[in-house]
Amino acid sequence: MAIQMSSELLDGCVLAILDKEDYYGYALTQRVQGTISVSESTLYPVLRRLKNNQFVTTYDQPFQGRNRRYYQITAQGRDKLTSIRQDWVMFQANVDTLLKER
Amino acid sequence: MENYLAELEQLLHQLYQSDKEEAMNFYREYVMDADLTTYQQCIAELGTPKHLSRKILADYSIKADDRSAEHSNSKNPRSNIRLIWWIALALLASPLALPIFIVLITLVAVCFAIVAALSAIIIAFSLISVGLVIIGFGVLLQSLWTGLYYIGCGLLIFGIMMTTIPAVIGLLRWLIDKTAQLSKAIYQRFTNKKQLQQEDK
Repeated sequence: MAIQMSSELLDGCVLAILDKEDYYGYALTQRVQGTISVSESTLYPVLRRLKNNQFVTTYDQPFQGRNRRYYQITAQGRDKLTSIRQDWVMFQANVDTLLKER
Repeated sequence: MENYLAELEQLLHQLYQSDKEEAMNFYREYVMDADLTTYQQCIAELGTPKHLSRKILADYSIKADDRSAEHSNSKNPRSNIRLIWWIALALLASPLALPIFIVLITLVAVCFAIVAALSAIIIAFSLISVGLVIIGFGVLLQSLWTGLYYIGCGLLIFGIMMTTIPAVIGLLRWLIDKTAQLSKAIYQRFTNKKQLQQEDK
């Protein structure tokens, strides 16, 4: 596919996934890669950015004698997700208008 | 796998301890969850440690640059040089980017050649001015007016050079700044292109 993901959209997708349930890094990467093709090293910067902007928080849970870091969406993150969704609907409608023009 | 992580950690030594720890924890966990047991598997999934580290470092550097740009307009030339360096390394990590890298290196080389030439001119004129003042004092006893003339010329040139030096330093800062912006733009365009190619596959 020649259309690429913008970082804003990628943020939105990750927030949408985290809105359903909390994920740890690897599972989240798998989940995103299941639908869109991104490289394995793309998700770390995204998660870092979301955390720095306080759209997600993290907590550690023990797993087989080590810790897994889970990412959880915050109230601010939900607001951000709503606004990205709205922007996307607008954007999609605008692109559709042009693409369907004959 | 431990070798891979150890290598990555070493390559991230420029980062702050906390940032390094965070990145290392993320990838340590990732490698374990992904069940990557051998060095080769790690490379197949995440790329070579060098490649991964440069991706992490370039991302940090650009973030830091954005942040400092928000706070103040005058950027630190040293951090700019580091930014150019990291991006050059990140580009070098991919063979596709070699032409871009060559262009970048050429640009940097031209900038520094200009600065070196200007510095040489300033040093030369400063030496001439000092020479003129010395000659002036030498001649002073034989002919007062000729002596004063030489001293005057020497001081004049010296003064002009002293006023040019800040301008040259300003030019140097400006050049570094522009090169940093340019390499940032190239880096962003390049990573976009790479994503395109991956999605093409």
